[in-house]
Amino acid sequence: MDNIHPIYILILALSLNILSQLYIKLVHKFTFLKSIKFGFSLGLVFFIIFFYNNTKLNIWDKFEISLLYILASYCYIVLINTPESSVRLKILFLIYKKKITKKKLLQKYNNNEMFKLRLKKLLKSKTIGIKKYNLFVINKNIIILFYLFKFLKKIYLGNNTKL
Amino acid sequence: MLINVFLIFFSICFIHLVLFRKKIYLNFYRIFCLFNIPIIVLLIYENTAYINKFYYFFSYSILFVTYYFTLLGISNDSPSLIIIREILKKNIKINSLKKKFLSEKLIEKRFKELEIDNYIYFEKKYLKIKKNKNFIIDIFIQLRKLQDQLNKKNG
Repeated sequence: MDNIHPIYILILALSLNILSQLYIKLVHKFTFLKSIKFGFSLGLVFFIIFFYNNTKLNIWDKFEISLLYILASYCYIVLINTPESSVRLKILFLIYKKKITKKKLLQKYNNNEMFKLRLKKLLKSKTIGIKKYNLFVINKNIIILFYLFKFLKKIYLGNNTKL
Repeated sequence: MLINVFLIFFSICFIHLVLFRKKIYLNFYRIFCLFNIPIIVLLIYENTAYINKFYYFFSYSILFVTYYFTLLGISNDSPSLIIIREILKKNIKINSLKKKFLSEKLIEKRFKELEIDNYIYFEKKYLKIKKNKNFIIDIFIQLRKLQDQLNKKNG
C-alpha cells in the first residue's frame, strides 16, 4: 500500500466520487446537490483512510493530492451542472429540438422567464429566503462566492465591472 | 517536480492576465495552446518514468480546466449572481429586483454571443445551429441523460 503512485490514489478517489454520485442520483433518486455532496465526501473519506495508512507520502504530497482532488471535483460539478444552468445551452437546446424563429424562441424563453426560474431555484435551494415580500440571503457561502467572483472580476476586467 | 508544474501554470496564468488586461482576448484554441505547449515540451525533455509524466500532465490539466471554467464564470454574468448582487445592494423587493434583472438583457447578450461565436445562424428567418457545433450539444444532451436532468427546469 505504501508504494502506490499518487496518480492511482487520485484516479481511484475521483472514480469513487463520480460513480457514487451517479449511483445515488439515479438509483436512490437523491437531489443533484445531495448526490454531489455524497460523492465528494466519499472520495474525501477514501483519502483520509488512505493517508492514515500510508507512511511514504509526506505532508506536501498529501496536500498536493488533496488539492488536485478538490479542483477535479469542482471541474466535474461545473461540467454536469452546465446543461442545467447555462443560458447559452438552453437557447441551443431549443433551436436543436425543432425549427424555430427568434421571435418564437424569445416567447418561449425570455428574461422574464429566466428571472422566474432563477428566483424559484434560489428559493427552493434555500440560498435566499422571503419574508413579508422582502428577499434576503440565507446561505452565507453564496456571499463568499459572490465576493470571490467580484474580486476575480476586478483583477481580470478592471474597475468597469458591474458585479 | 510537481511544484514546477504549479509554477509553470501560475506563470502562464500571469501572462494570460496581462493579455486580458490589455484587452487581447484569445479564443479557446489559443488559450489551450498557450497553456499546454510549454508543459508538453517540458514533459518531452523531462527524464522521468512515463507514469510520472502522466501524473504531471493530469495534474496540469486539472489546473487548466479549473482555470478555464472559472474564467468563463467571471467573464459572463451569472443570472443567479445578479440576483444575489441586487439583494446585497438592498434591492430586496421582488418588483424592483425584477426591474433591475430585466434591464441586464441577458438573453439578448447571450444570443448575440452565440451569433458572434458562430454557433447559430439564420436560414429564412429560422434559427439553425452550425453543423460543426452540433457535437457540443450532443455531448451535453448525453450528459443530461446520464444525470437524469430531463426535467426541463433549467434556465
